[in-house]
Amino acid sequence: MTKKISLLKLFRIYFKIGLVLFGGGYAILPFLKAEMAEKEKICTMEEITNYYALSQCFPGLVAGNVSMFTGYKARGIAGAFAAVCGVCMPAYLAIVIVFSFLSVITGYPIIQNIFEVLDIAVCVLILLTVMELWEFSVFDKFTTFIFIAALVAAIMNISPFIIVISAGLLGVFRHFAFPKDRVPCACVKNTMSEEEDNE
Amino acid sequence: MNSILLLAFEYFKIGCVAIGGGYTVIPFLYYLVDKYKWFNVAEITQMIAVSNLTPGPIGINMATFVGVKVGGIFGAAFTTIAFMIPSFIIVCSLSKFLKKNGENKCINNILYGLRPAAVALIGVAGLKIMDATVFEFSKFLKTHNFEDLMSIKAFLLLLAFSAMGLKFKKNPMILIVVAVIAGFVIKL
Repeated sequence: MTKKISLLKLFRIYFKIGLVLFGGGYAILPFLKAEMAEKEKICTMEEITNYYALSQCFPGLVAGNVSMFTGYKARGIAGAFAAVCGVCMPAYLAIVIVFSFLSVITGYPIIQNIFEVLDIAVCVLILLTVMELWEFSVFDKFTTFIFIAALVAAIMNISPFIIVISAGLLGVFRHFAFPKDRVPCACVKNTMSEEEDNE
Repeated sequence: MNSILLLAFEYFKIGCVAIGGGYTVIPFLYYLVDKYKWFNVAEITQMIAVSNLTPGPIGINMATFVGVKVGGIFGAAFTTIAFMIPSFIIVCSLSKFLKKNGENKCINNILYGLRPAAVALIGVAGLKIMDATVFEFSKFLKTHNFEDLMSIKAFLLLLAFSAMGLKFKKNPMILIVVAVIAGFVIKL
């Protein structure tokens, strides 16, 4: 099913996606589906959905990870590289350009006021992100415990690195302490069902 | 130059642990503020707002923003690349691994533990921004003056934005544009 696509073309596709991508990671899905599934036929819709679920579970940006997964599917490591360069380039250029303007205009009171109102909108966006992640992150005793512990630690200003790494270690502990327990995980279910279909 | 390398290294570490997309980086930005004073807390929310208004993944926008601030265009390039290296390695090896072995229970267990922690971190970052904009608990605790506790106008805007945010969940851009217009009209 996989047909060879040139790296330059891959870069161009992702650059285009990066150019029209605004907001959170899920905004990339419709574009990826249109370009990679429908036009180039490199991966199926199901694969993209699975990659998306996996991307949310692993370190890194969701949009970046999904791009790399699909790029890898198309052309291996070089493909993943072309994809991530393409998708990041517009973001980099945009900020470099905006930054030079920004330092000039932030002196005006009206702009400061706009940024103050924007802060409130940013709060809302962050809380919406929490709600979105909540569904498949905090759903049983183990995850609730980690959530509360991490919340308290974060409020006490403990380094986020320490919090994340301890949470990961608790996961390792669970793996060895309860080897028979199934891991309830939305993303696992997603990729598992694909494998069952294949068999 | 030194601070560019240091920032790139910090961002490399963030790239290793930030799970769940661009907003997960925010708690680490607060950590950087505490540790290095390269930028201040008000600038973090400014970064988030600008990142929402510019094309591309938010995390990349923010990484570039921090990078430009600390070390100009070069600093920005270094920071962005350093940020993406861990996930590049992870995604490539994971793709290879999954192609060969399918699922791995130990990895799933680690992720199972990591995600709630990431959610808690993002939540606290949101509360911190709220504390500086809508409520001012930290100021109230010092002054015990109820006027400091909450700005009514800001609170009403928060309610309005929340309702809108829930309605246009898939498109945060709309909310940001409306907020820019509101900021133009309403004096906070």
